[in-house]
Amino acid sequence: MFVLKGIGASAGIAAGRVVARAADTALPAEPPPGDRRQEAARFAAALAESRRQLTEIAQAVRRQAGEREAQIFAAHLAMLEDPLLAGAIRAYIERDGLAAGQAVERAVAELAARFLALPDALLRSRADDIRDLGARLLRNLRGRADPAHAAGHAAGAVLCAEDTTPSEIASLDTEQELGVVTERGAVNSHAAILARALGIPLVIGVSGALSRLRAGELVIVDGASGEVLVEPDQETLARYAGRRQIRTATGGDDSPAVTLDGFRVELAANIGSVKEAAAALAAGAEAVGVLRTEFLFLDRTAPPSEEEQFQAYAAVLRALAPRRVVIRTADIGGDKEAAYLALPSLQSGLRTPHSTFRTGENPALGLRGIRLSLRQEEMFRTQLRALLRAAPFGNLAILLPMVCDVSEVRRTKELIGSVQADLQRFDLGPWTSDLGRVSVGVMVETPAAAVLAAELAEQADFLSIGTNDLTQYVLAADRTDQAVAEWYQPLHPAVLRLVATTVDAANRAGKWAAICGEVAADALAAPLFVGMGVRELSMAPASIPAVKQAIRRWRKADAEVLLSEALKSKEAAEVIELLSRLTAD
Amino acid sequence: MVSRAVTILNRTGLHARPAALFAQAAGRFSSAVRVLKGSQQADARSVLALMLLAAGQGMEVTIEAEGEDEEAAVAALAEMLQSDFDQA
Repeated sequence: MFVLKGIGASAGIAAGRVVARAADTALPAEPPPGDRRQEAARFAAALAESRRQLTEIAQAVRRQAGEREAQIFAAHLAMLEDPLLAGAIRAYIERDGLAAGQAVERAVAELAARFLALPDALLRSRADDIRDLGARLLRNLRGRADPAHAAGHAAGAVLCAEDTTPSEIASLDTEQELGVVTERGAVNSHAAILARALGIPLVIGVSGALSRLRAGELVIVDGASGEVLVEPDQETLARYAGRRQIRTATGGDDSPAVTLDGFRVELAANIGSVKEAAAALAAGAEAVGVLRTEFLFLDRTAPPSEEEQFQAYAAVLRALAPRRVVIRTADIGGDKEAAYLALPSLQSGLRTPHSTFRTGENPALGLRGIRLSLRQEEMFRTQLRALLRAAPFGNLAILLPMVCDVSEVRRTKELIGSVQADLQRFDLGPWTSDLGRVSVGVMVETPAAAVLAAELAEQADFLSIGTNDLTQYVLAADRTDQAVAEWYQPLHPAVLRLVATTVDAANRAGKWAAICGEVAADALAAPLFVGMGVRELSMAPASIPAVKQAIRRWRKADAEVLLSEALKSKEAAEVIELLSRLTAD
Repeated sequence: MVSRAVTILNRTGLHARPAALFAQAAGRFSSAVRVLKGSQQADARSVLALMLLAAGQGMEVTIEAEGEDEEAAVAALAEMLQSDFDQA
């Protein structure tokens, strides 16, 4: 083992195998220059493609890291079109007759040199942004893909390069590329800022890294100390593994829940107010699986204003950024009443002769969730506007409760589109006009939705299975009625089979599935969900550490075997016995 | 033509992000706007030219505008430099 010393630019620990990325010099030769008009057209096409790529990166970064980080790429877009860059390149082509590639190289070199001559270190590092843009233009002129995409790195890689760029960091697949080591760079570079926002360990300034690290070597990257430990011995590996353990013991463990064979389950928190966001973070939640918005709507005499909602959503999104926050649209009705909706003046419009707002005997089967939202369109539009306005403050996903089929999803998406168009009309310009696409998920809690999961997964960006309601509907057992409590069994095979086919439908459609009912917090049941391929378990924050421990004891392959056994069970007691027996030994 | 000398109060001066916001704001006026610092000058719509001024907090620059909305442009942009417009 030996240790290379650099500068820690983004904290965190990554252990993986070295993948070297040589400097981007191996570009294919430029085609022979055409006439000035042809070269100008080639440059115009490369510029347009670069603009498209940067817009895409900005959207992805906005989702993963937040608005501030996305602004880096908005600034890149502005630099790209700047008279001193695009303008200079055009002049070199049209006035001086240079080939497009030569014109880009000259303009970038000159501009970078001017920045490097500035006294301020932060401004000097803008030379890197300009070179990043230049490299992108050259790749697009020559029809080459992004190096980060082209490389197709193996899972568990540590990327080692002379230097990195903001766009490279933004394009890393964080499931596969665990950390980055570079020979050059600056702690305040945009690349480093992004690495910190995305939680990617980064060590810069490791001199000779490319010649001293060989591809395939195992390294530990310590982004806090700036050390790169090459081919660590068992003791060192154990020490670093131990550091994670220590964090677990203190409860603030934010390392992921991964099975012994590498399947990762995101552990998220269910929260019902802005205040609970802090508890979610303290418990090590990686995301919020459901923010119930009823707290804004209940116990009051009038519905909340757009501004009040916007403030609440933005506060939660900001507190948890860059983590994803799934905000569920109002699920009023059922056992949650809002007095102002029962006013006769409001009611008369939406009442049939036999149904009042709270459908007396059977509210769980009444006008609730998305049904009510689509009936009360003005109230729903207000909520959607507040959500979309808050979206740039963090990583928002919208979840629709009580869906039965795709018609409700389609109608909601139309409303979102129309609200988005309204918002854009009042917008200031390119910085915020492109809100990105907010992902929309469907809550699977009616048996209809579970049966039609494949169709819903086509329309939705994700499925979140609400096992509380699903259980009560499948087993026809009111979960608020003590008399039928013994029929309310979330681990009943009838429920489990529906959950399993729903998860399967999501995975087949390439969407992710989450479980957000109380059973997600049941450490005993965790291997069943691992076996199904559930990507997120969302629960009360306090349950996260125990479920994390449970997941870490399992291999996904074994969990799949366990699941297939459980799905064969004829009654809930058999499932529970199976789980207890396996967890005991 | 309207011109006004302003001391930059924005904490990070005219670096990438503030420069981009400033250039964007300048682009909303029809007047031609320039920012002068000592012997250097920059087209206010050019992010890169603005950054090359290396205008940090506490430095004095002059904003010059010429065109129909020159008064409004200078007023708005001067105000921008005197606030923490990047911190919104």
